[in-house]
Amino acid sequence: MRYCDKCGVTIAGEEARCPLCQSMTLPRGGDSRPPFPDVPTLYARHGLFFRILLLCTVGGAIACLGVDWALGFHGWSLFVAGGVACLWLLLYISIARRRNVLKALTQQVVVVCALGVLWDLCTGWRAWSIDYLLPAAFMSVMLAMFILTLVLRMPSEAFLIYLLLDMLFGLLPAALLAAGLCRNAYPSIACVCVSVIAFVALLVFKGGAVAQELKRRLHL
Amino acid sequence: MAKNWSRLDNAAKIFPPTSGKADTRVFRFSCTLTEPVDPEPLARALSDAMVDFPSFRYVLKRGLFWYYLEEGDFPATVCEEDAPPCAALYHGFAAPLFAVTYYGARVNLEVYHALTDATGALQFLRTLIYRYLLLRHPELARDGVPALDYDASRGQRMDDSFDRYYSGKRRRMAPGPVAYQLRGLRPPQWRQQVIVGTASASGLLQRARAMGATITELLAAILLLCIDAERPLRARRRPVVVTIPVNLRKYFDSASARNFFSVVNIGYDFRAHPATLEAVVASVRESLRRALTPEALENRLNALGALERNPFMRAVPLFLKDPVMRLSCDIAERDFTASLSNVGRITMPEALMPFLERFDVYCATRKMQLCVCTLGDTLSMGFTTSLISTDVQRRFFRALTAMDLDVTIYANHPESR
Ligand SMILES: [Zn+2]
Repeated sequence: MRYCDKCGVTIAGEEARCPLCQSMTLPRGGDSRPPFPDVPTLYARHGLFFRILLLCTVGGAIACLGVDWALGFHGWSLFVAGGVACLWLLLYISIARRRNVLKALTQQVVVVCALGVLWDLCTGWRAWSIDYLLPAAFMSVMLAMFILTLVLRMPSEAFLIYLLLDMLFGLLPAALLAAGLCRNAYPSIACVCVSVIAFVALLVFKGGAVAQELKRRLHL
Repeated sequence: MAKNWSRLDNAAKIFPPTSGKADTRVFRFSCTLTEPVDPEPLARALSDAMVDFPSFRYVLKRGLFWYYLEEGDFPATVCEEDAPPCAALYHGFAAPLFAVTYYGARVNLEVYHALTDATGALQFLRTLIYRYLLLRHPELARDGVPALDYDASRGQRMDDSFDRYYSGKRRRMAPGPVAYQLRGLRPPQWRQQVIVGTASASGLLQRARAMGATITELLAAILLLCIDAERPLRARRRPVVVTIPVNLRKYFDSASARNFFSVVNIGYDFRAHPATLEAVVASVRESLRRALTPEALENRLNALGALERNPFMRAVPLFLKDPVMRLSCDIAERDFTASLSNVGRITMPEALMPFLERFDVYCATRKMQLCVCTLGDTLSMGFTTSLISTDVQRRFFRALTAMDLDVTIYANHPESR
């Protein structure tokens, strides 16, 4: 204990200065334990790693732009820069959603597909993004969620909404097929079938839980 | 098995969209015992208390239109205090909305405000301490300690009393004037500056009575005067306003362990009236008397309830609702400078009193908050700010020592390292 004769208050712990007026305190026996534990300010532990990664990737992209410019600008360096931006976007989602793996997967599949379609558009539409990327991404995320929930032993309620969302995404190739945008129909057909089968399986085994989860999530 | 779930109560709806690094919306109740805490019986007591209070099992989730509470599945764990006071509990995923920690002889209960208010949290902490002391000292159980005086079924504890007492009748309320706001340097990472002061409850009551006031009125008046004395001259054109949360369980029949509170704003215009303690006390008493009528409280309850029942507001998806709620909260919160919450006298069975030293309460805030509670003759006043400056607190506690009260200060170091 200490005492501040300016404020006239007793101060718990061994404070050299009064917390109220910051003047010197006088000793006064008793308990010396500080009233609150000292918690050091935590700076991001992985800060250095990310800074180096940022410098390397951004530096590399700028170097490519420079080389491209020096060789009379063919535009390939813009793709390198775009690739770096995509990498950081996906990294950001993984870190921001690290506590909720399924949500991260759901957001990432949307971003990956959107970026894929964008790349395809920018490189002279060859339809590879909707022919192969979309079906493959949706099916692999469905599989990944199924394995994750088994391995991490998640309660069924935790993954239902994300699984349902991904199945809805899985029906998107059907719309693209109907619109006649696909050049190779087989992967899209496979994706739609897998989504429908997964949905039926979910209804058969977890029908009640699905209905309740939807009721909770959609309450007005 | 079907999971239980529940809508957020009316007061809680504002907390999830508006809580973040700057204002975690977490408050802490702590109980200091007379001997060091033993974590093992504390964990067992916690698991028993969680059975008594089903709402503390809930986790917060996002729906398409609203946030909601869903029964969670997590073990009862206690750990040694290792974070700054009132650090964030809700991170946007299904984790417990409260935490029990210990430090030396102190047991801390930190609660996210969407789960419950101070009254609900206090009932939980009292049950926890009661069960802990009975496990820690089996001889007490042999002598037969009377049960806690909290009479409420599980259904009553889960009750959404805002919904129960919503009648739809209301008059339009004019928004209050924009109040003076404290400014200054802030500690790193939006940490809270916590300064708890204890004084004799009977001594303070005696001084309040001498002025014909209650403890809350006296403390509110001192706080108004201290804030006014510390502000720069150019900021004098705005009124100083202290907002006081009101426990609605006293006015409407309810034993809910969830949120059921309202607030009243007490302002004082220092340009038009004298800055003497007597004058401010008289004004605070008069404002409280006018605001604390059942009609005025019911009007406010209905005004808040009408917003969430607005069909347009209901059908807006949550990701659009969040920024709107954040903005309207920022605008609404401009009408007060600081907040004063008196939880009042805490009762514990007489046989347990030798093991208890005091209770403290304080709350994370972007402004300034003073939370008061009393155990026996120890009145605890917990100041929190997210400012480095301690000038208002210094004036406040010097005003108490000037009344010949013995004050002991317990402070943290938000700025260290
Ligand atoms: Zn001092």
